[in-house]
Amino acid sequence: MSGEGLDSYPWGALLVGLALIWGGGWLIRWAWRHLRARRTFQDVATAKVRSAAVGPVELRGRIVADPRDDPVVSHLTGKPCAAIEARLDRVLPPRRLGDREEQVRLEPIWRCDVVSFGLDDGTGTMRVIPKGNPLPMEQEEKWSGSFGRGGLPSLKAHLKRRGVVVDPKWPLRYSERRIDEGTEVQVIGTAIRDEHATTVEGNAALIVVPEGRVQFMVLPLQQATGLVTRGGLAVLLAAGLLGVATIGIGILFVLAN
Amino acid sequence: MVAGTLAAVVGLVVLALLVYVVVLYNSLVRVRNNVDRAWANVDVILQQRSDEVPNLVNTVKGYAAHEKTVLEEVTRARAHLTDARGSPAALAAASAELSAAFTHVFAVAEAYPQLKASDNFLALQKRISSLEDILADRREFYNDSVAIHNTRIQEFPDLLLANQMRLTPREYFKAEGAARAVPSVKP
Repeated sequence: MSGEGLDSYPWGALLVGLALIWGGGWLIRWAWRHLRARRTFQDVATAKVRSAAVGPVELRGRIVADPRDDPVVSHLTGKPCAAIEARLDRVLPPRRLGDREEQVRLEPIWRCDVVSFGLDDGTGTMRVIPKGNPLPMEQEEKWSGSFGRGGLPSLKAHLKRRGVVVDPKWPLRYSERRIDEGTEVQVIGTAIRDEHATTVEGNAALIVVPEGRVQFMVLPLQQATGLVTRGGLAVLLAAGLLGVATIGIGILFVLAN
Repeated sequence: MVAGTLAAVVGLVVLALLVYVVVLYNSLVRVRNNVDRAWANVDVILQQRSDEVPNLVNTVKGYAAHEKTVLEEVTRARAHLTDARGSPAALAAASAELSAAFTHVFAVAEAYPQLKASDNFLALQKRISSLEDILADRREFYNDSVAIHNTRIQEFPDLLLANQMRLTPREYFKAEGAARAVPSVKP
C-alpha cells in the first residue's frame, strides 16, 4: 500500500495494522504452543493407563465416554460422543436499526458443555478433565428448522424432560462441536488420584489435568505423530517466522498511520 | 543507521541463542528427571511385590507346610531383591528370580485343592499377577525413558550441554540370561 493510499484511509490502515499484529501474535502463540507439545511428546515416554503413575504423563488411546457420567449422544447423528459443546437458539425476526438491517438475531434457549471424557488404551480407562483447555472438537455441524417439522426429536424430548418450553413454530438454530467416540488421540498432562472414580481393579483412578507448568494438550493421533517429524518442525518454524513477519508488517502499517 | 541495524540484528541473534540454550538446558533436566521418576515408579512396584512374599509364605505354609524348598526359594529371591537395590541390571535379574519363584509356588499349589480354593491364596495370586502386569508396563516405560535420555545426550547439539551437565548414559532395566524368561502368573 502506498503512502497516498494510507493517507486516504488512515483508520483503515490502522485497523489493518492492528489486525496484522493480532494475527501475527496468534500465529506465534500457536507455533510456540505446538513446539512445546512437540518437545514434550519427544521427551516423555508413553505410559499405559493400567500402570500410569501420578505426575506428568503422556497417554495414547481411543476416546470413550466419561466413565463417571451418563452417556452423551449427539442430537444430530444419534451416535455416542465423548465431548460436546452444543447450543440451541431461537431465530428472531430481523430488526431494523436505522438504515441498516440486522441480518440475524438469536435468543439463547439452551446450551450444553460436556468436555471430560475417558481415554481407553486397552489396559484401562482414564478420565481426562481438560479444565478449560481447548479440545480437538473436529466434528462441527449445524441445523436450522423448527421442532414442529420433526427436527431434532432427541433434543426436543431432552428439553421437555427438563421443563424448557420451546414453541413448535419457532425457527431454531442448533450447532454442536464434538469428539466422536473412537477417535484416536495422544494426551499430555498431569495425572492425579481421584478417590471417587474407579478404573483399575477398583483402585483410585488417575485423571489427566493441567497442573503447574506441565502443559495439557489433546491432539488427534495422526496430528501428534506428524508433529514430531521433521516436516512438522518445519511447518511450526515457518508459522513462527510468518508470525514475526506479519507483526513487523502490522507495526509498519500502524507507524505509517 | 546501518551500524544500528547491524547491532540490533546481532543482539537479536545473541538473544535467540541464549533463549535456545535455556530451553535446551531445561529440556535436558526434564529428560533426566523423567528417568529418575520412571525408576522410582518401578521401585515402588518391586517393593509392593516383595511385601507380598511373607503373606504368600504364611498362606502356603498353612496348607502345604512340607513344601519347604519352594518356600525357601521365594524367601531367598526376596532377599536377593533387597540386596540388589541400586543397580537396574542386578535388580532386573533378582526381580526375574522372584517372578520365577512365584510361578513355582503357584504350580505347587495345583497339587493342594484346599490351598487353591482358599480365599486368601486366590486374593494373593490375583494381587501378585496384577503387580506383575504393572511392573511389565513400568519397566517398558522406564526403558523408553532411558532410550530418550541416552539418545538426547548423544545428539548434536544437545551433547555439548549434556557434557557440561555431566549427564551420562543410564542403564536399562534388563534381565540377563536365564533370568530373562519372566513367567506369567495368572489366577
